[in-house]
Amino acid sequence: LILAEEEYLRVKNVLLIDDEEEAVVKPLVAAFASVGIGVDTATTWEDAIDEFLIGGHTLVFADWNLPGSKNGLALLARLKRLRPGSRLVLFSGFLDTDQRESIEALPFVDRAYPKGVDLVQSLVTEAQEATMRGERPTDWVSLATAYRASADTDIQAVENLELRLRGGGIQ
Amino acid sequence: MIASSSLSFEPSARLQRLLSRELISDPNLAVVELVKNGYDAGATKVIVDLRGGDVEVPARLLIADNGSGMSEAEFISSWMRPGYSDKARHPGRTIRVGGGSRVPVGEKGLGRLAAGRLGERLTVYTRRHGEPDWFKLVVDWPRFDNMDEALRDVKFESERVREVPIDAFVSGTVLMIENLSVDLTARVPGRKVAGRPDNRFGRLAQDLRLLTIASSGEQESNFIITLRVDDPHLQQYAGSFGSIQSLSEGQFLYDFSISLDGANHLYVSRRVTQGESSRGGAQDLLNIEGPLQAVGEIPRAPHPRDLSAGPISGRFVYAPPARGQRVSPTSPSGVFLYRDRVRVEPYGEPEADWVGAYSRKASRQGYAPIQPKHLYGSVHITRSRNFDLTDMTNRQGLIDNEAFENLVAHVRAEFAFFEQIVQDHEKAPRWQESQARKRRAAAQERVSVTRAQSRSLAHSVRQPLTGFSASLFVLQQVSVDSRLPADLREKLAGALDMLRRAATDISERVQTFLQASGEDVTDFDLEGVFQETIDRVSAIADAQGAHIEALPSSHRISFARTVLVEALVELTANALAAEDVDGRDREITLSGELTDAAVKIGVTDNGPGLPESRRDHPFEPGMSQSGRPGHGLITQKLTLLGAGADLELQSSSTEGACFCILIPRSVAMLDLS
Repeated sequence: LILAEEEYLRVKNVLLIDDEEEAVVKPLVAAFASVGIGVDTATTWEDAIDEFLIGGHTLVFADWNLPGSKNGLALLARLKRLRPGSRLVLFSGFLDTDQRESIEALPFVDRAYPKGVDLVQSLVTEAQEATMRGERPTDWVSLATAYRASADTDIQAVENLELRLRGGGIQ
Repeated sequence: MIASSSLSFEPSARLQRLLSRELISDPNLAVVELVKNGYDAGATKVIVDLRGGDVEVPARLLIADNGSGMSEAEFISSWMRPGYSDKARHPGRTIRVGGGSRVPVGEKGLGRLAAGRLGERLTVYTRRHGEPDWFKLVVDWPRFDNMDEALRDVKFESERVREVPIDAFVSGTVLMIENLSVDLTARVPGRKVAGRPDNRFGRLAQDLRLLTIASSGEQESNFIITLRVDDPHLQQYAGSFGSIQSLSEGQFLYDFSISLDGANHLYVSRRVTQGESSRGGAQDLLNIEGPLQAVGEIPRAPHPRDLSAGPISGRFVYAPPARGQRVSPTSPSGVFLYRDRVRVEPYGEPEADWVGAYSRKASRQGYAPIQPKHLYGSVHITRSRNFDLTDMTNRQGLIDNEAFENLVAHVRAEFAFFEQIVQDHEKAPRWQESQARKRRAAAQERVSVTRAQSRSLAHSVRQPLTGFSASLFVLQQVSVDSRLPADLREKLAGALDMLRRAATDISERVQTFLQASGEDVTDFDLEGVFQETIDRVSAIADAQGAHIEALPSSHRISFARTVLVEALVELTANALAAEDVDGRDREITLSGELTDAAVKIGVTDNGPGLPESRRDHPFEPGMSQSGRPGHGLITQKLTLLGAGADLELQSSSTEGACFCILIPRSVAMLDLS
């Protein structure tokens, strides 16, 4: 009970959003746990927003294509508006170089990774860095800059990009 | 009747001036008329020499011929009597020139007046062969300006001289025109005409070049015009021109003749030849003759039922430039009308469109089988049989009478027939092109579907692969836990390493699969694909001392090129990766063969062949002999199937294996060539 209470009270800096619970979420959670990183998880758009509103995570890993979501980019754009200082990472079953560059050029996407064998190491590294960042004092300049960038985000442009990328087959 | 009296016209001197200056509107036609006078005089050579003139040397035009020349008596009786023509008195009479005969083209006795169109002063020198000197007369045309003076009262002094301004010929006639009233070097006003120079001199050169046409079999021209000019900018047009030869090269040649048979019915002879092309040498597409009802006509362009124009013959040549080339025959496009082998102006000019090529194109919204600018040809008539086709006095063409309408209608009907033949023969390739486009689109669609499926597959594979890797990550953390026995940690690390390599291999294969399915369908040579394959695996082959050879293949196919290259690289790499057979250097052969149904591309090796257990099902999952996962072949087979081809194991024994990629002819679009 004491352990459970400790676990409950521990601040989790990372939110993992993916609908593939068995194939992706559980193994990734286990991988994070193996290096001492606790993560919150969500498998739908709505759950993700709720979790983020409660946890205010400094790092969000989001899959591109969630059931019930309008699209992955719009989800990230919305999260970024809620908490501009959070680092948002997108991953997908297929990303080619061009698409990755287009996505990373967006002000609310900090990084994009393809799913695959190298993903777990990349995410663990991101999570470790986020934990270290969480222990440092708030960088108000960066926060203000991020806020301004997120406020300037044109949601319509985001949706257009999403459509274009989907035409290229992103799943 | 109360009284009667005889009255006669007394021409004013001004009549001569009006006729000479205004009858022929085009100065180039005036020059051509004077050259034709030399032709009629039996000349074999005519020199046209234009001096542009400057402050010190006045401009002048010389036209000299080596024809019969005139004695003083002949000059007075014919040349000095406008409207008199010895040729009109003896129609059909030919003159002997060299070894052949020539039908004179003039008949009105007015051509000499054309000199008045070109300049204010004409000096005529003429000398019959054998005469000791030249007869000379200077005509100042402004002296005819006085309309109060009778024509007969305007007199000029003649003299006999020993020298002429040009000493090219010992006899003949020399015309020197001075005080030029028109600048023959100037730009022609108005819009540009396709195939025509934009300056008057260039067009004169073209008109003189086209003036006479050689008869079939005539090797050497017996009428050569030499055009000279002192303006350095116009030298490109200067030169000597003999009779032109009928164009004999083009995509389609059409020779026709129309005459009347014994029963007064239209009798037509037609021969269509397709010029040399990539498909082979020239060949007759049609060679028929007979009554018009028997040989047929185009309903939309029927022939008139009579032949009031007289017998007509001609040749149309359709000579579009080859793809990527702009070279066309040197003569301007158009179908020119020749009477007794001398051109009748102005038929053949694009604006005349007397064949109807431009109007037919316009009626088809520009999609005519024959593009008029690449149409060449000649239509032939003769003074001795086409009696009613006579020149207008102003030389602008034939008099627009019933016979002329009949001529035009027949020529247009023949052109329509020619156009139909061209269309029929062009239609097949166009149909094939259209089919090829559809096939290509279908092939592209297949590739697109494969691409979509591949992306979907890549996504599905990468989900568990991500989880799998995450689990490996956990195991990795466990494997370094010092609480575990050292030997267990070591075993765990070894197993982890193997699993990690397998996961990486699967990931790379998915990536390859995606790239291969993202290719477009293109046309390419098999030899190029073989070479690329060899280049891709050459490093491994060199390291193993293996020899890879591509047998010569000239096949060109349509297919997703990268799909094919990836498959060949996979097959060749597999052949290289197989175990060595003692005492046998590894030989791999790439070959391309055309069968009734498909393009068969083979990869043959002399390795140990597939294991017995896999020979019956080479494309089922399993580890390869070299320890590599055996997914490569399956992936390639699936990708090839997606692109409309297939992969088969042709043979496998201890002597080696042969895999074949089969691309159906319809997919490779070889059934269209």
